[in-house]
Amino acid sequence: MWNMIVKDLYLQKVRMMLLLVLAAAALAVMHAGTGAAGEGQYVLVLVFLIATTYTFTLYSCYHEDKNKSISFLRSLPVSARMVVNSKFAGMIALEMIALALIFFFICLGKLADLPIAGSLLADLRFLVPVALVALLFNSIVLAIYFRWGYIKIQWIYSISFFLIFFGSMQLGQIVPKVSVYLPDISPGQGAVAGAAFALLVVFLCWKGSVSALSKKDLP
Amino acid sequence: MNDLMAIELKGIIKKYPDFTLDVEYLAFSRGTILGLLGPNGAGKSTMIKAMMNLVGVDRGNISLLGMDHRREEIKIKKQVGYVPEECNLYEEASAGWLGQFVSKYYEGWDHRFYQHLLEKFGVQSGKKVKKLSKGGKMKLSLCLALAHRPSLLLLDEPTSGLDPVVRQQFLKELLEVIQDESRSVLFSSHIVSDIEKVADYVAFMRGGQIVLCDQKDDLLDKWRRVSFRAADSGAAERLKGYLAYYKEMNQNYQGVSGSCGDDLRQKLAELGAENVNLHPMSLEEIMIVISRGEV
Repeated sequence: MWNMIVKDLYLQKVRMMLLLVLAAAALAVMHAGTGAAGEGQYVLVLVFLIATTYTFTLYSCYHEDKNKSISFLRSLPVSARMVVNSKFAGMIALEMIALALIFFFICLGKLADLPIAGSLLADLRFLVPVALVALLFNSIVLAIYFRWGYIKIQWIYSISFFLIFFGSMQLGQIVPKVSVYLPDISPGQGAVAGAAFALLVVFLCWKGSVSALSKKDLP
Repeated sequence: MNDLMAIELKGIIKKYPDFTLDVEYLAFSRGTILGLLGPNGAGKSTMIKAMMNLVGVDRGNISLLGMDHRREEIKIKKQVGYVPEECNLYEEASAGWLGQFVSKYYEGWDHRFYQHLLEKFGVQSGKKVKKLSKGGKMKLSLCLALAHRPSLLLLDEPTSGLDPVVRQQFLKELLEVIQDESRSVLFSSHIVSDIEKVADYVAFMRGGQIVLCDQKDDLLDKWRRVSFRAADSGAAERLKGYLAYYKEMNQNYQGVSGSCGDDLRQKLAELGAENVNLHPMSLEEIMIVISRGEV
């Protein structure tokens, strides 16, 4: 599986470089007097995370569809489950890389005495939902890809991007404040319920993807 | 399941809205080369994809190297090399990188042999797939399929789309590398001369069905173009049974016979045929007659 994750990263190495630049740009925006202080910084982290992982996932699907290479992968001793696993794992790996980059730049900013909100580094209550929202978003995209392909329904991805992107941003803001909307449950319970729901959807997307690819007639 | 068979297909049905693959039985033994002939759209690629489990069949059993193609899919694929009709490699990757990538899935991958094949076929290791010609891509696919020294090689129209000069060269090189007696090869093509050069067995496909499968030499021995004049209408009825396809004009018959023994001329004469002429047929002529379903 690692081999296939490396393959996706290799095929998008230029995009990976851009990721680094984007991470630096995101940090610069945070501290350029744009008013993105406090919780605004969290939104920027979310935007950055979703935009990069979404681009990566989508381009990886685009490459597979354009080259008809899922058929090539399946002609190797590789099961349909392994192909799907590698796509999900690749997306998670990139998310980790993106988060690591954000931490790296934050540490760099701290060292340079930039006015970074102290809680950003420490506040896992926010970063966990942010990571989960990106995971949820990309899992839905992957499930759509494995069921219907990419090029044939390209327009759906464009529409879904705006729907899920802005939806995710809202979700990302709602999740940390769950106790405000649901006063009967504690923030801890709310976070666990939210995470469980997101993970359930991710699991269903993964399961659906495996099933769709196993039954699919490849070109 | 027969362990001695390289491939065995039984009662395969795959339905599409406008086409049905319906293979009652097809098998060939290990260590031989089967040429799969048929016009475009006959179902050759669909059948090969079904063997690779890239296309799911609605009914039937497929076994490759004595193993069930679904239950033991990974085990089979470790011993199979597959070259598809259309290049489906990553356009952005180089031949060398693809070799590294694919090698991780085969225990028997031989890097030196892969490099040797690339050199033999004139594919530059550092060149990206998108920069290769159609022939170059096909050669690269073949190198990738051969470098783990598979027991079974499935070649789906490897020469289609190549110009005659490149095709000739490609076939020559292909013959050199596939003529290993322990290896079984299924070579599909609609170009009969290609099959004629490489195959031990020949199968013809038409409309999703295998209409004929036999040893190449036997086919060439058995099939004859026949012409004769029937002495009377009773003789004509008896004689028709010896012709696979025919046309008739004033009791003069022109046709082909697919069951020609040494004594066909004598048999026809005994049944009332006059002026019997028998002519050998090439594989191409046999395929044309079978494809059209008429003389």
